[in-house]
Amino acid sequence: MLNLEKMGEALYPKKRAINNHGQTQTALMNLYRPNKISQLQDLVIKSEDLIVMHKESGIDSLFIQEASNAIITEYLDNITNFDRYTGKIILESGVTLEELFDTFLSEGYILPGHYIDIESSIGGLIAKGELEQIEWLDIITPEGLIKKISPNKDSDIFKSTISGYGLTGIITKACLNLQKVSSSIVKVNRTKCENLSDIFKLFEEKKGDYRYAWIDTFATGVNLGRGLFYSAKHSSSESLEGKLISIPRFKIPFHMPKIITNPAVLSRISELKYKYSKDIKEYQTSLKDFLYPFSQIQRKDKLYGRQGYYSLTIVIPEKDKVKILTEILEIISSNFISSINSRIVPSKSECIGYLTSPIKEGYKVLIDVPYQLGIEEILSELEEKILKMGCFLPLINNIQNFETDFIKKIYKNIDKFMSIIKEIDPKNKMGGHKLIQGNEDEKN
Amino acid sequence: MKKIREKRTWLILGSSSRIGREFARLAGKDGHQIILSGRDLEDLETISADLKARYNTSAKYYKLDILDIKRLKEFVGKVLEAAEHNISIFCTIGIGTSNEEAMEDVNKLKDLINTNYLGIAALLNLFIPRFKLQESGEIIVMGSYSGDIALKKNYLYGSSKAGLHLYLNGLRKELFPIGVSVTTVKGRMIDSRMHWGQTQKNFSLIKAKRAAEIVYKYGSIGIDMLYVPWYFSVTGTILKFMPQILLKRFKL
Repeated sequence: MLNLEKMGEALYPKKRAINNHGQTQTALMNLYRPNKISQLQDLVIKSEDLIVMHKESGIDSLFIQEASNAIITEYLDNITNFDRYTGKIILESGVTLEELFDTFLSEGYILPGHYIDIESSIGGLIAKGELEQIEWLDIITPEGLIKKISPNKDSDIFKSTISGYGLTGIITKACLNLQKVSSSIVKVNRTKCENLSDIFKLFEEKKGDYRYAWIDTFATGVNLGRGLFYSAKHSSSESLEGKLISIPRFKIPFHMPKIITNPAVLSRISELKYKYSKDIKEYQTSLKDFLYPFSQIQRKDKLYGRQGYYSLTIVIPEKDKVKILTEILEIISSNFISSINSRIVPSKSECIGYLTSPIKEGYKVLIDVPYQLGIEEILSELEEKILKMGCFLPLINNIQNFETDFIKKIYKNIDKFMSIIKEIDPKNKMGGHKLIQGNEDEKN
Repeated sequence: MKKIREKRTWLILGSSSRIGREFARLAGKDGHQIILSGRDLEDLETISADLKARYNTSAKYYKLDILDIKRLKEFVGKVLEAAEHNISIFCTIGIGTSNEEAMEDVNKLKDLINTNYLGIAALLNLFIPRFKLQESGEIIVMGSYSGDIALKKNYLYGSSKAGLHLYLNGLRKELFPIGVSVTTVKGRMIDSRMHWGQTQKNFSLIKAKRAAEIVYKYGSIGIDMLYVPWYFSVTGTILKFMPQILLKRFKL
């Protein structure tokens, strides 16, 4: 428990059981929700072990058993500055992608890129290495100092902070560049594809502003890799005709029972989705609904039942993409870990962070895997196989399951990362020292 | 019921609170002028910059300590000078001192009453001439569900809010003929600083952002009483009219 003297009512802790993202692990923690950066700094100075999270639920499994104090950045959501001519924005780390969409899309600006979850905070996207186009960052180091870092200033700390999962300190502010777009409405072309070759062919042929594909991960045999390809272009105001398709906003009221979330039902839903889709369909919708079709569903985690799900992100290289993805889909369907929410999006990485994907151009495959008995073992085996195929996985969630030598092959800069962690966090407040230590100890 | 069509100057009393901040964002989004007030000038500066960045709305801010009764007049003078349109007020000022604290220390009880009732009444009184002059406007004040029903765990807090509710009922009568609405918001289980740490499960807490949306929507059209969330109006009404001979036996 922290020393709460002179820290004010806002920082009074709430003791609560916190789950990981898939709601498969739980730990009892003291939660703190600072309203401003100075309060956060006080907390960091006075604390012994800490983790950072955006909301009260959802944390990465690596950290859940290690820390007893959690800081929630939800209320650090001020936008300090926005230049309406250049699109340069300075914001606090708790601002969400959805807020940026809702606030600035009407002015013709969006954050470039296609991310997994619209409810993600900017700090979270940076810490997971999903957002790389950053001018500078302000972090509070584990010692409690506010530090401005950029590709040119303290670049080693900067590279460690991007994709560093908060182990170098807490991101408080970021300076980013929003991208100008011509309208908030997009013209969508949806094409039914029988296999992965067709899907990837369309990725190469159709050069729309945005592209992604949904794949039926339940399909096997001749149907393996079937799916729907979506491409979209911004509609100019003159070409706006016909009705806009929009997704109604609703909330999942309760955790879906197993009778609905079992593979037999889900595979039927996927099959029907594929079967009843027209070969080609054109329609107009808002950019938000197109990129994040699940954004209108509140508490979508409940879709997978009380036991939750794992979110699997696989980066596959451009070369041999069809062969690799076919093998991955075969493993997934043979282990009955398929999901109705599975997408392929083109991926480009600047490989800035020490732990970000080394694959500069390729595809990102995003799959939500519902929890089932023995899922951890299946996923560990799957991850090992995937990595051996030359793909990349953000392994940091369960890094301790792997041998140190194997880890070093995946993360070529992990030694540099570890030396920065030890330098910036000598007292191991953020728990980074244990990242690969366990395996090293076993080896010794 | 009326609907605001013209631009307003929304004065947010207690802007550092989460609901005050969210309310300011909603009003800023609609293009109204915002005046922020509170004790923490550094925080007010950040909120003002946030409104500018989000909605290109400039928000002035002034220091306000509701317990410093002597300086309220000076504060009101600054606000009236800065207001570019007809004024509307959203007041979120309030503290949630527990019964134990207020019983142990009489100064805490005094601060509770002075903040939740005396200070707010004194401040709103100073704005009455302005409302009479502009003959329009909205006054929205965060009261509490506890101000209707004496809850065993916080009836001292509840009594300060009950006083405030009665004051607002009177103010409503006075300002109704000239077209000014007074809304009493009876909030319960809003995910605010006051409730943080008091509950293990958060399923029944309503997010401050959602609460602000409801208050902004219904306060702007001049609703007299507003329960947030709405379903507490059912239990609130039942308990309010329940005879004391029964109520005193409840463990509430």
